Amino acid sequence: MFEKSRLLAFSGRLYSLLLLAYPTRFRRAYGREMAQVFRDDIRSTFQENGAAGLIGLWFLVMFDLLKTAFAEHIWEVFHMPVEKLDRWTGLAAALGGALIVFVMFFIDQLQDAEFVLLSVVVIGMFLLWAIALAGLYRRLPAASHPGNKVTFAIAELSLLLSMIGLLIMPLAELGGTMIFIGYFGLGLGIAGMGIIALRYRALGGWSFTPLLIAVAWLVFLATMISVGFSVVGPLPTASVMLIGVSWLLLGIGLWSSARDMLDPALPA
Amino acid sequence: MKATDNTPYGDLESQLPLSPAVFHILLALADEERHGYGIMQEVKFRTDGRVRLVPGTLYGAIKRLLEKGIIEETEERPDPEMNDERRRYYRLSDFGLRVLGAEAERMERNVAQARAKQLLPGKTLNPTIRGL
Repeated sequence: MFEKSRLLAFSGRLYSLLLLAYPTRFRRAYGREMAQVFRDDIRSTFQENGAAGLIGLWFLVMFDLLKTAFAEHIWEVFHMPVEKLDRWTGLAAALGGALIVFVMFFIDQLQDAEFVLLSVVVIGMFLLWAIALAGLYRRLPAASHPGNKVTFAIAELSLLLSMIGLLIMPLAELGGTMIFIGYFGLGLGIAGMGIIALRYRALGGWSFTPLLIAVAWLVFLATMISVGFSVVGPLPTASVMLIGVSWLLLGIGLWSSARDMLDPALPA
Repeated sequence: MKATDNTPYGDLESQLPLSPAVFHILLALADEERHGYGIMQEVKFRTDGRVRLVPGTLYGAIKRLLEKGIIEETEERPDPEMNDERRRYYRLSDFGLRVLGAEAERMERNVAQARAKQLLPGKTLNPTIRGL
């Protein structure tokens, strides 16, 4: 009897601890109730099915916790107050830019690095860009306008295509083609978003930065085609550095305009 | 009542189809106010244990249903003697009742279509289907 109550008490405490996996806001609203419900559930499960039932319930609860905690975090991101989101997405853009500048500074050493390591760095950079683009999309005044949706979708899907291409490149030649198409799509998507951002002055004095990224990206692609897909040499290095700097500027723009750009001026 | 009626929370059709978990939660609240554990128990009992709700899914769904105005918190307690101040009780809103009704109608239509194809247990399969 004593063992049973200790086991149930331990299970309850462990579940309360695991609730930390949920976002703070969700946990504050429902954490206490969830812990109470769990305690009730394990008590009745133990009475009905003993320790085996308890183990089965734990499996179920752990799977549920992983799934729903992830879903709640995603929900929090998409429902984050605009100002807070802008700061996070600004940070992502700046980090993405800083990462590419860092890589170019150490490109000679990285030439010998494992393909896997380089792929991880590039995919990390792409993920940061994807977050930054989501932030930029939210800043476009008429985010629901079809044109905005299309350019945003092109940019994000192109990033995804490039990432998949990078992952499968060691296994299939198709990977290279996917990266190539993804890179062009990314340039076009960001160019579209950049034009809209500039037209609506979505980032105040920093509204030029998305278009600057697009220009830098297209210069980079033109350079790649002309020099044969190598980032070694002054011209490719300069174009990649320009991309990094322009992402950094976008990050600064998203971050700094977060506090005073909640009501961007729309053209007449 | 048409399923396409507009409400402050949007039209009913946009809420459909409901996920199985949400459908069972709403069904549990159709006849009386319940707290979280009460919902779990009712669903487990009504489905003979085939549907098992766990806290994450239950409260994730409750949160979204509250936001959409499909359910609401209530101060009323069905049984004051069994009242537990720490628990929150939930009930279906008028909008929620219509959403649940619309979902039941949608499912009924699907079942009717399955019945027309003689797919329900105990029915003879259509010869053309049987031949597949």
